Amino acid sequence: MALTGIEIFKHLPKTNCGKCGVPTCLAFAMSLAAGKAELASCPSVSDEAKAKLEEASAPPIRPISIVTGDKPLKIGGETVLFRHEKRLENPPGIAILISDTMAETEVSRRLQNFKKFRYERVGMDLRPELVAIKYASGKPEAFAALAGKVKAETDGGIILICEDMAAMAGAVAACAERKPILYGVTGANFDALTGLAKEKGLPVVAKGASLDELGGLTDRLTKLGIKDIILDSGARSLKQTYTDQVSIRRAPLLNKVRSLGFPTIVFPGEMTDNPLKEALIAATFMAKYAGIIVLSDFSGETLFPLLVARMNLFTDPQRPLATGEGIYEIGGPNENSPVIITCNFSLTYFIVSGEIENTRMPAYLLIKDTEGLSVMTAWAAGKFSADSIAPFIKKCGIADKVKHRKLIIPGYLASESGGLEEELPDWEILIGPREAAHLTSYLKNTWKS
Amino acid sequence: MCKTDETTEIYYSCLLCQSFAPSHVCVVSPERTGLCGSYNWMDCKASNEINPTGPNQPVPKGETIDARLGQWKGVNDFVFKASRGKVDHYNFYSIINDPMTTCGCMECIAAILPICNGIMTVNRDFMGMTPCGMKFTTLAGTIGGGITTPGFVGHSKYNVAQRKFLIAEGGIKRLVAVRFNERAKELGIPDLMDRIADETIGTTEEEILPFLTEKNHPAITMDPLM
Repeated sequence: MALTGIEIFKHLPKTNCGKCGVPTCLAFAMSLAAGKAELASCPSVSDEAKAKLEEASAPPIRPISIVTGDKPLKIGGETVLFRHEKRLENPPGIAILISDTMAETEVSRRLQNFKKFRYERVGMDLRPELVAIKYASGKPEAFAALAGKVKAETDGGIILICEDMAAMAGAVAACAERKPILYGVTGANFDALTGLAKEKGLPVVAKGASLDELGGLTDRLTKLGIKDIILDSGARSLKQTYTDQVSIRRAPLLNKVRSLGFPTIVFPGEMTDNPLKEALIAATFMAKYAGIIVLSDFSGETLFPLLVARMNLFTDPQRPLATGEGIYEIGGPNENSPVIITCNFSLTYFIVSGEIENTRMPAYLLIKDTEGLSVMTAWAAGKFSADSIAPFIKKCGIADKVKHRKLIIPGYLASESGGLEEELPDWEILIGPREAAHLTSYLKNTWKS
Repeated sequence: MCKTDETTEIYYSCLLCQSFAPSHVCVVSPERTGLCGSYNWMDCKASNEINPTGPNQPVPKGETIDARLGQWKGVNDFVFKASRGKVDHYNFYSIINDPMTTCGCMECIAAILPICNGIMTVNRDFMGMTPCGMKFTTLAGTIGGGITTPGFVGHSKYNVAQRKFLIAEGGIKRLVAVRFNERAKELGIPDLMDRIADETIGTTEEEILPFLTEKNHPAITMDPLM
């Protein structure tokens, strides 16, 4: 039975030193109880308390941080089976597969695609994070060279798929700073591969033919001090993989099976030859518990929906999605372009910015922080009224960007126009349409700088 | 005439928040309003009479399991069923012992302050840091979603003035830090109010403890909370 925050708190030093990153021991205890922090962050916890808390404080599914050339990719750390129970914590990493038997041009195309397929949505960067490199050539130097190339040319985290220990060691040396994931530890190569992983401090994939075998492997790895483990149940059919993923998620969460409390890796490309089916399978495992999804190739029409699906699944259902406060330039506006303000609820931002693009009239869109609430909700909560909009207009710097002093407010904020005229005497307040869909006709018919 | 929890046999449920906190079941008694502050016992009764199959259902409180903590068999049975087996009991009047679940739309959150041997509460309009080390939003994210979190409980503003507010731990005598001065002044205990810290005294436990000691706040000498 997991301890509650209060029970954990009793064992903490109660100094409120703040060294763990949160201001009080109580707050730290609550994070521990929620599986969001590790006891190791507390510098002054006693050994006695540590022993008592270790079991309770370790997250049921270990969070693992994978090195990339960009910010680290976090996987695992999940605390629930279903999104609505709390939230899904860490989106699975998406990898593209490259083999050392592929022609130079094919490798380049794949690496290009890895770099090219990036999208920005609601202020979030949607992108693949990993490159999986497969050893198939029989030539260790070719494998090492490819690993070096991937490290040099991309910022992706690296997965090395290789059963030959000499080739693996060479490839690790070629991309050592990127801390590649070693795939994979089995009963047969256990000693050789764990030796390499331990020496270099690398994460490993444990691969077993059954969940029991997998659990046995992770127990042995943990005893050796290797804790950054990713699980592959060995299944390569959709049905069996799905069953395994669910079991691997349920066991640590519901039954405290520590030996399966790690993120997983899946290979949809090994379950079908049809790229569209592969994408559908990948989407399945995005929802059902994969930590890393290795795709056989990237194409924009399947990768983009997958990235959006991932973003949608891993947003916090208790918090509205919000866009950053600031000035958004749409279509290259100039000093005579219209200035439109709305709230920072992401959906609102999406729709309004899209409609402004449709008008083909360049404009400045001002996004005011309303804590992710929509226009009317924010207004009703007092977070989008004249006395909070006016200071934002003054400090955001829009006055330096335009010559005119006209501000278009959402139609639903019409009742704030008087207040705004008082607070912003230099500005003329124009009441825009109630619906974003009417922006085109509104701007075309009424806008004159 | 004031209705009290003791003299009332039928409490009312409120399941409005289950859309986002599926295991949360509010049970509203005359002396414990819904933690959103929007529903009191009479509101729930009226809602039930208007819509007998709606979110507010009568809950016969049944046999008393613990009068001090505020736990009744009928309430537990209802909560178990309405949370679909997720929650099998909770206490109305305690913050330490299995307090009521919290949905996410509470007006205030009370939290224990172990060093001060007391309880703080913060309302949702206060954006700053609180002495427990968490802001309201962090607190809400930690304890919300239909779970029981010992040491923390959501409650309505009005609830502070009600007779049963955290009475298992000593009620408002435990309050060492509050945010809503207006409400507390109406309590008729002006002297106690002067001894309670707010954000002008400090936003950490260390800052408010000397104040509480100097003012001889009752919580300092009360039985240990934990």
